[in-house]
Amino acid sequence: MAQTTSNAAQGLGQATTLASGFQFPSLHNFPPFYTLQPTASTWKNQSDLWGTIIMRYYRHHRLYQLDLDDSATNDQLFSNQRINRRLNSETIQAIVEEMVKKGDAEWDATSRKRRAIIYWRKPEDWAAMISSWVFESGLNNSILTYYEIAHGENSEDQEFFNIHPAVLQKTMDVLVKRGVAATFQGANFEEMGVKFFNAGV
Amino acid sequence: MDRWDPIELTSTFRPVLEPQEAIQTTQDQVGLYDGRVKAEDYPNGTVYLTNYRILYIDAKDPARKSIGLSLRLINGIQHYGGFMSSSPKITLDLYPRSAHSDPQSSMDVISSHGGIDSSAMAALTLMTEPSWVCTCCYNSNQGGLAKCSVCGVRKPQGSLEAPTTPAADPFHFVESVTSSDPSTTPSVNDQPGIACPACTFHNDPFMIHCEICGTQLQDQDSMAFMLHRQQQHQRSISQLPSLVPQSTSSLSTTPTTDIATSKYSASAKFLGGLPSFYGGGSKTTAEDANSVKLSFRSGGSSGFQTLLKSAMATKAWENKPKPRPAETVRSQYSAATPESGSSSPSIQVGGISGIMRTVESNKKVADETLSEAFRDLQGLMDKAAEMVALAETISNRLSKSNSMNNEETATFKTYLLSMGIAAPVTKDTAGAVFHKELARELVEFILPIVEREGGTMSLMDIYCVFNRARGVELISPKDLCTACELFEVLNLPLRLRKFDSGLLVIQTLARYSDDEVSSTITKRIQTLPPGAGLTAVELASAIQISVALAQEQLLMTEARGLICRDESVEGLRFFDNLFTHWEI
Repeated sequence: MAQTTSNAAQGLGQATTLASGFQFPSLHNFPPFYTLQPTASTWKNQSDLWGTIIMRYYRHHRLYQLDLDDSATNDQLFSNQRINRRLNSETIQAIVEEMVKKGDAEWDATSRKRRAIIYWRKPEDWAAMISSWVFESGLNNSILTYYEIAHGENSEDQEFFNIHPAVLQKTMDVLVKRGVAATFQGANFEEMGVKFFNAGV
Repeated sequence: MDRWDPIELTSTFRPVLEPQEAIQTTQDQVGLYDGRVKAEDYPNGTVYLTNYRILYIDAKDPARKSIGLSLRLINGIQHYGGFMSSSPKITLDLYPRSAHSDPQSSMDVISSHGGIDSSAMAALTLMTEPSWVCTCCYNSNQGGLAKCSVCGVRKPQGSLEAPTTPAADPFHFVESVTSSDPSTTPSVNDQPGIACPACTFHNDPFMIHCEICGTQLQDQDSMAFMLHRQQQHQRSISQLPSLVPQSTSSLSTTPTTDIATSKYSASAKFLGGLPSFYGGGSKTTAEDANSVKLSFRSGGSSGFQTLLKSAMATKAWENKPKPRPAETVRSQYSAATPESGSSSPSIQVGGISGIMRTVESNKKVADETLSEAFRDLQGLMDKAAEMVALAETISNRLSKSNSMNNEETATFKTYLLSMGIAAPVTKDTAGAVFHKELARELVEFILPIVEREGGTMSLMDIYCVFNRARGVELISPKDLCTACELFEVLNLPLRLRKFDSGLLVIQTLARYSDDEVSSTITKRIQTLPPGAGLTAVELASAIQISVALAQEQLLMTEARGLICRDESVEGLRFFDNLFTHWEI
């Protein structure tokens, strides 16, 4: 993975592997990785690398929301006990900010930049995945609730099972915009309905 | 200008002074006049007054157009305060050539052999080129002049150049006028008067209003010029009495002199408003060869004059020290040195015993100088120049002898190097150009030290070293800073550089570049043991620079994206920038 011949790269040692099976790149052992780099070009590379690691981690663990105040997740992802380094929350915020700029994440509008949705899959990809699942299982032309999509028996083996409501809403917005589906208001979020049209195929 | 000699300059275009020579004052924007005429080659430069010489260093072309005039050649000083657009000037009357006995001067040799009057000889030397007649005012000018000395009109090119009598008799023009009827002489009628716009009467060029009808002749712009001309004219008339006998004496061998002088006052009346005759080339031969003018375009003339007077009163050149015995080895063999001569006058021993004796006496003199120097502080200050010379001698000797331990030699040389600047530039001596002079002195002194330190030194270090070398003439940090800021303007081989953090350093132009430093640091970091970073302190001790400077160099390298930082409780460490090429 590392392309440099520098001694520093060799000194990083074996990459850490978590109990969940997630393997960090060996860069995770590089002390400067935990300091916000003041040089713009270096910072861009650093934040890109962090963004990639975050997305991989979230995909691996089927996580959708990053909360700066959720220390349990962050301790695992953003710190390294071996070299005694951890990212402070300002740096994490800056990294997420960079991800938001690239469209890989989105701040929760009510959280004052404390929580963000990580799009390890884009809403467009989710939309394609959900609509193909709907047509494959012959559920088109009938009304589905959001709960049935995210937590229903039929979707148990699907990747979008347990999808975050905010991501699901985004995905539905994409489908409605395309004219593939129409949403119906429900009493609460899980009772919201959606109907897929034939024409959308 | 023939009395001026070319002078030796340092690499920063300051004059090389003789031993015991000290700069009294310095003034920039000074132009030279050869007699009454602007010296075309020396229009603007810096003038140094030392206790021996007046030195002119040209602002544009210092390498070629830098000349010096010994004070001993100066007979008298006249000061002119300046009027309107005319700058203040100091006129230096020089002794006539024969007055000073300079054995090297071929002129004097010739005159003593041939018995020719020396001032006539001076006149002849100025007349090597054929003289020419001005197309505008018909003044007969010396051949060397590019412009008419009276009206400033340029010398006609080629065909118009009318060679008059080869010796360029200054009264040539007068003769031609007086020998014929004045009314029929075309040269007079052709005088460009000013035709009145109302009545067409040809007025004298100096008239402001028409003599007949009173109409204004000149526009406002030229009024100042006219006033200036009139003033010059009056001045030249007032100098007339002293002038006439001089002209007479200088031309006593010419048969035309009697006629010329007798017609002198008459023609003066006749020519009326023409200042040409008195102020112009006609008398340059006698007076101008023996006078030089300094024109102070940016002031400072009165202070200069005061110091010049005192320097001339002191006559420092009369007790110039003889060459030091230690400086010239050869002189020791050829003749007994002044010191040894005085102590034992009859020693003329050759061979080894002679050399031994000389060495011994030199040692004795050096011992005496040292003990005298340290008697009290005043003594040290007085002896400063000698001490510096002594230090130089010792360092020269060291470089020749191989017997001493190399390391010792190097250390000793370092001490000598940081010693003394013989004649530090001060505000008193340099005046308006203090900072420029200071910058030059600083570069001369500090350049080898900066190079030894690896091309970069912080301004604080330089301040310490420089002030230690200056001894008692300490300078303020502000003066140093101002002087350093002038490096670029003066085109000196050092630069002041301000790092982003505010740290000021001096670095050499030739050897230092950011690319070089950053690539060296990157290489150093890449070859560190795995997993280790580099701190500013480690870098500073590794390459022998100050920590502040090391920090700056690391930050500069970081800003170039070559290394990256790790901030932790352990401090700031720098690592190779792995982010650049990392691919996940």
